[in-house]
Amino acid sequence: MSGRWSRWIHRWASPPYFYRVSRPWGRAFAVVSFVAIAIGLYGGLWLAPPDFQQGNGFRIIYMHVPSAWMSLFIFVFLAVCGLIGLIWRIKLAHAMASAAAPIGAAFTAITLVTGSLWAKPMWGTFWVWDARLTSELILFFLYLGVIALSRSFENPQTGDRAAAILAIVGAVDVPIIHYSVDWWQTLHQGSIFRGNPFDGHLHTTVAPSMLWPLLVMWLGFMCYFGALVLWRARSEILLRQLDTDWAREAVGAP
Amino acid sequence: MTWSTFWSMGGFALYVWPAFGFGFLVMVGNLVAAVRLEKRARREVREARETHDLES
Repeated sequence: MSGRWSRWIHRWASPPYFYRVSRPWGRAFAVVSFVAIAIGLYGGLWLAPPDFQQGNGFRIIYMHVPSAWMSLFIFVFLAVCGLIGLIWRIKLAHAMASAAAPIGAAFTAITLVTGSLWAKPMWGTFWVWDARLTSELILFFLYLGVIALSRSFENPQTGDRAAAILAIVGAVDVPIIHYSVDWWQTLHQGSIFRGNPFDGHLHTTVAPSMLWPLLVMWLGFMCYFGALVLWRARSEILLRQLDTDWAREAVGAP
Repeated sequence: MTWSTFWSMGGFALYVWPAFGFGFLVMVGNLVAAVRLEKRARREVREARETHDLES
């Protein structure tokens, strides 16, 4: 690790520095999130043309697909935070994971419920034990497990370590969810994007007029996550450092 | 798109609007939870300070 990179990580890992600097970042994310979601909704619900097979029912994807992407991204985020917390013993990493887990669980719940609402008119049923749906449901239980484990021990550090291990092990579900539509015969549609983004062969069959609102909604959800995880992490850090001088100063306690 | 098509969603309103409603309800719920977590953290820091003062 280069000296400059190492210095940057250690500066951000300092709870007082993070507490101070994360507030303006969180506000900036919140503003971008609000604007992007508003534009994405306008594009997805009004401007995008109806699908030639699904009619206007397809518009549920503007809530469902970005939520599904977020549910996978946040679980990878949990696993990376868990690794950093376990290997380098950076407390901020555990606080970030603790802050992110409920947000990830919420996005997974949105994915499952909106998917069911889309499935009823399209497949004739709210639920099938399809590989994609089942692996996403398992992800939801993994999120609940991480949240429960982190709160199950009297010593918070033990809870943080247990939750980190479950997040790292559970991350195996992420590629299973992503590739489930390729590995098994499923009722669920294939991935919107195919190919490798790193060798320039990423392609999609979605029309640009339908695709751009989806990407803007995803940007909005990413920024929503950024704002919320920083906000929650600030509180998690305070709870972990109750007796420190900087925490008292931060809340204005005498 | 006309306003009537927008609200009826071409016959899919029963599914489209609850999907968006549930999604945004959960997202707002997350914001409320963050506010409550911050209040709890601030209260516990103050209480820890008061306990510390009483003990010393």
